[in-house]
Amino acid sequence: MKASASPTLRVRLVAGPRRLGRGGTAVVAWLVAILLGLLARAAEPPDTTFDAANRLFEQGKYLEAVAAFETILRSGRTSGALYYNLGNTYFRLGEVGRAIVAYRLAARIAPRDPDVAANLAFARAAVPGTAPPRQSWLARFTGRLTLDEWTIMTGVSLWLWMGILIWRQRITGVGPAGRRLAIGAAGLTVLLAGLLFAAWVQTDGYRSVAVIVDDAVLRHGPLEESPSLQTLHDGQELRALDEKDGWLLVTGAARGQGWIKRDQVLVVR
Amino acid sequence: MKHHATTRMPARRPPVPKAVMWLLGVCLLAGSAFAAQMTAVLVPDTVRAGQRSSLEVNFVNCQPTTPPQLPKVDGLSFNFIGRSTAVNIANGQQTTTLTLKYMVTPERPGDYEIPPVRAEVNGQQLASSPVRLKVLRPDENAPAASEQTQPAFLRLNTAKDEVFLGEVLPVDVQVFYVSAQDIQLQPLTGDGFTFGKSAMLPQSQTQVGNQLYAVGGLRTTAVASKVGELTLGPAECRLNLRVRSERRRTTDPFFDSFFDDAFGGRLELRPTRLTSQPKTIRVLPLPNEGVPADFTGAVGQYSLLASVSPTNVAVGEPVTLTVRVAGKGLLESVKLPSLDHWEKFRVYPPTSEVETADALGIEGTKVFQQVVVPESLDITAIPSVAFSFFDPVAKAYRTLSHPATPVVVRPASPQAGLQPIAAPAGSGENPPAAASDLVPLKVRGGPWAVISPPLVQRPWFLIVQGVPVAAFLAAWWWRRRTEALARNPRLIRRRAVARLTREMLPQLTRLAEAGDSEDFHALVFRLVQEHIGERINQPAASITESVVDEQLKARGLEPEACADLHLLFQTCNQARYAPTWTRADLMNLKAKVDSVLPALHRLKE
Repeated sequence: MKASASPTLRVRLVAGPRRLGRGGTAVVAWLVAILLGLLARAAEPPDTTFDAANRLFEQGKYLEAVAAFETILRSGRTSGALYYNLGNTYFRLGEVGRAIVAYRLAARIAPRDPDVAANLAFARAAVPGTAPPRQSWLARFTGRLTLDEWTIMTGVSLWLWMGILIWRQRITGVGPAGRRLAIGAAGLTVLLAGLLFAAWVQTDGYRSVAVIVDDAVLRHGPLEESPSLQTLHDGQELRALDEKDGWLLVTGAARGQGWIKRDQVLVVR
Repeated sequence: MKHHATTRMPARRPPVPKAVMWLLGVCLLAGSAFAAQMTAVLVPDTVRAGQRSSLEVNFVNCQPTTPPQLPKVDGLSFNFIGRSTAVNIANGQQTTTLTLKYMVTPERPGDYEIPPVRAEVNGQQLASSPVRLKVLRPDENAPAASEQTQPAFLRLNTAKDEVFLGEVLPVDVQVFYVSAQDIQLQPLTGDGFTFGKSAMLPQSQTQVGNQLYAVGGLRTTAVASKVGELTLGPAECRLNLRVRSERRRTTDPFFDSFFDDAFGGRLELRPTRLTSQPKTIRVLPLPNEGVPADFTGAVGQYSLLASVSPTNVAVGEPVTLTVRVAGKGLLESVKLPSLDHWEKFRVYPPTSEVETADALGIEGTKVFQQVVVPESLDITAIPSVAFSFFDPVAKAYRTLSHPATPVVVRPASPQAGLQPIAAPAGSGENPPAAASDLVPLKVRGGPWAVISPPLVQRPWFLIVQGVPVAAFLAAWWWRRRTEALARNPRLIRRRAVARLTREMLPQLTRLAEAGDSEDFHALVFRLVQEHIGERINQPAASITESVVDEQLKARGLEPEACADLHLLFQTCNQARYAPTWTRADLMNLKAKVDSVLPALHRLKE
């Protein structure tokens, strides 16, 4: 039996790629690459690079620290602490706009972290001549949880509501108590869905940007020849409304809407 | 002379009872949730003798219970013109502004200060800031001779020509025109100035020389960022003037005269660019003498209000100090002095928010939220808070302070240990944060997550959310089906008979093959009874052979099927008494059953 099994196995191994063809080979190579990538990630935990980046920061090597933090981001890993430390590093480099963007991304992952809120406020205070963007009470409320937390709460509420409705279909004689329960669960689900939508609009619905160069010029039109409207400082936060030929139409400046070069701002995303 | 002023004069409205207006104001203000504010504005604040100004008293998010008390100013008289209410909703926040307008008539040229206007709001006395009116002599700042002959011209007006560094200077750009359209004021420029928001000036009419002009424009603010003689402007404006075109004359003088008199000639639009005279502003530095130690650069006129909450905390619990700086000036640049010198407190950087009360954003309140954490049981009070600013009117520094607020600091709970403050997650080894610098790095990076779109945008998550919905729809459909069946007993019986048939036919085959005559015939008899009973809606036990001729034929059963049924009934009866049947006989009978049942099934109910 062994003698007959081995040749069969050998034949399969040899004939395998031939049967797969070029497309199949590519798929296998792709899967192997993904597997190797996953193994590489597992082999090199981001904490090691994170500690190394922190060490570079403490040594005053801010540029190297930024590169190390961004290496972790490029590997596909993220955390609130990573964006927070990246924000600190950018701030030390004098890049207030990039620091503000990093803090805002940290706040999306860790919205209740007082350190993130403190440093974001500190960075905003360093932007001359501007006030921090005003937030409505709804934005402040939805900002207490992450978008995923709102999503999970809404999902759980939906399951609960549907569970009650299914229970009412299966059990006869539930009476008004079951009806009230179902209405309550429906109301809770709708409320949470509304808050989820509001949270989504706050994070992804608006395209927030921050100026990352000093003396960026806001213009009337998307052309170099367009008259200047206002000079913006590094770190000023705006909201993008439109994009055309490498220019962004933004609002939020003291003089209203205007066009700014795309490479002079960083999108909070 | 005919004038083609584009300014639309306000139409006279029928008088509205005062009570209705007050009620409307109360209703509009009911939905507001912001702090009450009262301001007074003069529009314009510079007039010539013989002209009038308008004093606008604004109540933001409040309603006076009694009419405001206007101060008596020698040389000025006030007359109530009317009231208006504006509701502004921005970012979901509603602001309601009730405006009372008074006509101010100066008797002679000079500089007037109108003291604060006072009014009672909800049992509380509110007062506006004082405002100033400058009344020029009739010939002062008179239009240039060139202006008097122009169809349009532009003026750049400032309240004063000398300001301090950082002082907010209101600037009016006024466009005077006889008849024009498509008026576009270009942004004001000026080296060394930073410009703020702008607001349209109300349309009006004025006479310059012998010409009546419509006047429009905008008001903005300029803040000087360096000392010296700075040039403001010139202001620019593009507009299309409506001018009479030169019509080709006909040979008939009577027609020409008639046409011009009746239609005033033909008008054409002439694109025009207007430029004002630039303005030289002398910017003075802030005095070096008497600078308060905690001065942070605020220039303007402000008041201070502070509150502390809660006042009974454990060591390590945060206390929020709310400081409201209200007044007139560059509110966005107002900063609180550093609280680093507060001993035994951990101080976080403050957050702030500006609530403006005017369109230019130079009047309002800046609210600071300062979180401080007591770290010692020795603390008995939150120290006094001071705020210093330079008052450009008084030309002196001023310091406002809020006294120390007593607080009770309890020992921390045992769970909190002896640490004065719960360290934020991931920063356990960090030193305490200082308000003058960043909170230090986090030493732990995790929890790590893979960069991916949020859950709400992932297809698998949305599909999972569809599962309970699908389950509910299935349960609902099942419930409806069950209820429909319960309401239709014939359908239930038909299904029961069909199920019985599916079970019995194989059994019948087995009995025939086994030669079990007795059970075979009993089963055939029951099967036939059940089928016929279901078809004619009678109990199965009551079905006999007589039914075949009495009812089944009348319902259209085929003759062959009738004959087979007779045969089956008779055979079953015989089998009770002569149970001697071979396997082949039974198989033949089974074939009869197989042919009869479909015929019965085709029968009408």
